[in-house]
Formats: sequence, C-alpha cells, structure tokens
Amino acid sequence: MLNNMLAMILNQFSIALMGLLVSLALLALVWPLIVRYIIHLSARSQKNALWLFVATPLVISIMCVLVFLPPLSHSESWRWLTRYAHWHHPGAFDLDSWHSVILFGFFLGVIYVLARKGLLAIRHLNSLYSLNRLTKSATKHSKTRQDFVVLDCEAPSAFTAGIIYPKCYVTTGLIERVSKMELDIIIAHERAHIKHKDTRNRLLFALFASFYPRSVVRRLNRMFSLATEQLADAHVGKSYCVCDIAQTLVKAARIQRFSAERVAHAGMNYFIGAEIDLRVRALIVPQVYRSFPLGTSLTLLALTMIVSFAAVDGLHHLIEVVFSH
Amino acid sequence: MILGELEKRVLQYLWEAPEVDAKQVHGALTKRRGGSLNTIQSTLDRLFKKGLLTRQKRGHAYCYRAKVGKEELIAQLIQDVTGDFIGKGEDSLVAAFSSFSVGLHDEQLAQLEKLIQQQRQLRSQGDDDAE
Repeated sequence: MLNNMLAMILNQFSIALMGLLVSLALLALVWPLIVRYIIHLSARSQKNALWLFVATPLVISIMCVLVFLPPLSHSESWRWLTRYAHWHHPGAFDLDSWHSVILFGFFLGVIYVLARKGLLAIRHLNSLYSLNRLTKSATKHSKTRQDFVVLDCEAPSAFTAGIIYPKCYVTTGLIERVSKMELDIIIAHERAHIKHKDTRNRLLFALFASFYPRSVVRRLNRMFSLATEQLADAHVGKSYCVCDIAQTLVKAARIQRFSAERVAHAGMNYFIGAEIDLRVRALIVPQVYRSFPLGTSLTLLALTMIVSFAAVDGLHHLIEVVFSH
Repeated sequence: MILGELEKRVLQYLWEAPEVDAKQVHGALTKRRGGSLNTIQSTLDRLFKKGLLTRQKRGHAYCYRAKVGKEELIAQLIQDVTGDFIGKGEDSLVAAFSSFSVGLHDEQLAQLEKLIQQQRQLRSQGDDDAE
C-alpha cells in the first residue's frame, strides 16, 4: 500500500481514467442520435461539433480530477457536489488492487496505440521523404514550387501530405488529362488544405477519436475528413464558379475510375461513393443548414459531466461488490 | 520506405544502365564526389533488400539491375503515402482532391454531371433576369 505523493498521483490517474471511461461510454451510447443531428449542420459547424465530441471525454476526465481531489473536494462551497462525487482514498493506493490493474492496463493500451500509430506515421513520413527526394531531381527545372510538387506518374492523383511542412502533390497523369482551369482549381483546393493545416488536424483528431469504439472512430474520422474537404471546396469557391469546381470534381473522379481499371499500381485512395456526391451537392445545390446547437451541446456536456461525476463513485462501489481493494 | 541520397543516385544510375556491378557503379558515381567501393556495395545491398534491385552472381561479383522503374517506384511511394493511416477509407494524414470511389458508378457520375448542367442553366437564367 502506497501512502505518499505517488499514491496521490496514481489516484488522480485512476479518477481521470474512470471519468474518461464513463464519459466515453455515455457519449458512444448517444452517438447515433448525435450523428443524425450533425449531418444537417454546415461543414464548419460539423467540424466544430466533431472536435467538441472527441475532446469532451478528456475534458471530463480532467474535471473529475479537479472535483474529486483536494482542495476542491474539501471546500465548503462544493460540499453539495462531493456528497455524490467523492473518492474514498485520495492519499492511499494499493498496487494489488483492481484500480492498479485497470490503470496499468490502460497505460499499456495507450502505449500500444501510440506506438502503432507512431510507426504508421513514421512509415508515411519516410515514404513522403523518399517521394520528395525522387521528385526534386525529376522536376527541378520546371514546375516545382515551394508548396507544390509535380510527380512523374501515370496514375492520376492529387493530394496534400506532410505534417509539419505540408505540400500539395499532383501527378503528371492527372495534369495531362485536365484543362488549365481545372488544374488551377485542383491546386487551389490542395492549397486550401495547407492553409487550414488539415493534415495536422486530421492526425490530432484521429488521436483524440481513438479512445472511442472502432465503429464510432471510423464514422468520426470519415465525417471529419468530409468536412475538411467541403471547407477546402468552399474556400476555392471564393475564386472560382462552384459549378466549375463541381465539374472538376466529377471529372477527376471519372479519370481516376477509368485509370484504376488500366493501371495496376495506381496511387489512389478509396472513399465511399457518397463522399463525392455529397461534396458536389453541397457546392451547387442551395443547402439549408441547421445552426450550431450551442445550447444543446452545453446541456449535453453538463449532463455528461454530472453523470460521469456521479458514476465514478457509483462504479467504484459496483466494482467493489466483486473485487475488494 | 526511405531512400537516402546515395541510394537515390545509385537507383538513377541503374535506371539508365542495363546491368552493372559495384565497381562500375563506383566508377561512375564517385568520380566527382568521392566515396569507397564498400559504401557502394552496401548501398546496392540495401537497395536489393528493399526489393528495388535484382542481382545475379557473375564470377566473384554480383551484377545488379533495377527491378522497378522510376515511375513505378513513384507510384508505389504515392500508394504508401496516401495509404490509410488508421483504416480503410479514413485517410487521415492525406487530404486528396478526389478519391477513387468504390461505390460510385458511371451512371451516378452522369447524374451528377446532369445536375451541374441544370444548376449552370438556372444560374445563367438568374443572371439574365437580373440584367
């Protein structure tokens, strides 16, 4: 049994973890209802709502630590709250307890997820580094600009990649098949991703979202990705006709579809069909969006927080029906 | 896959030469910049292990040949870069202009084109009315 500063810190982590798990479970339960509302918001509001959704469990877990431990839990003005939400042993931690098993199990899980994602990110960056190295010599005399790289490749593709210094990449296979205006639209779209720091945001969002169950994570990442694409489309819409942007989008999809049947090593990404359909419709068909539900979001946040505070102690007692410290 | 500067130069040389051994690569690449035969041999070995070269023993030495062409290697690297970070379809580290859509058929693309055309007409009618 530990009765020192380390015990205090381990208890804080235990409280944070229980707050996190309870709020994740609650939000994952209401996710099907939330998603029905989010899809009717504008791309910008969707992005904000999704950030709020993935950040809420972490905020709640930090709030739990603040509420459950001294000095707040000893404060007179917070006594009404600590009646429902309290931690029985803030200064003592038993390494043989179920707290310890859950806490170290969670740490191991986090280390595994971070290591797996870190390795994938390193592999991604290594390939990007090699790609830059190969294309420097390929295009040094002509089209390369600081944030724009032309790739000598038959497969039609255009993408933005890079976490710290993102660049947009367009293959010669795509350049040869589109008009000057269409290419300008494609490059403007990719530059919008650079301006909005989308590659970095997607990585951060994916890390925040990774605490949720896999089915929720998939939908969250896909929705976030779609919102960033729609915002990049909207940014290009300030300089070009939206019909031209939509036409370019359909043409690029058609070129990629045609090329996929011919080029075995085509460098492409696989999205669901609805993505392009939704992007085109969002561009050209006048949409009526719901406004960001600030009141509903704050109420849901407050409710989740209160239930999580109460559930930390309730869960503690429930587990101790089976396991003792 | 990561390619060093020397690996890139060796590959570029091999994309133009038919089949060469380490001595020939050393002779061609180190005239200006220097470097030992051992460095070239280990670079060729690394590229072979990465699956970018094939080799055959001729006497005491290996003769190397490029296994993948430049364009094919670039396509492979694009695939690595744009490959999903988390899972199929999530694509979080790359923002692509347009992605190949598994469920999108030619008819659906044609429908979208028709919709765009209708919107163009509506907008041009609106402009005419405004004038």
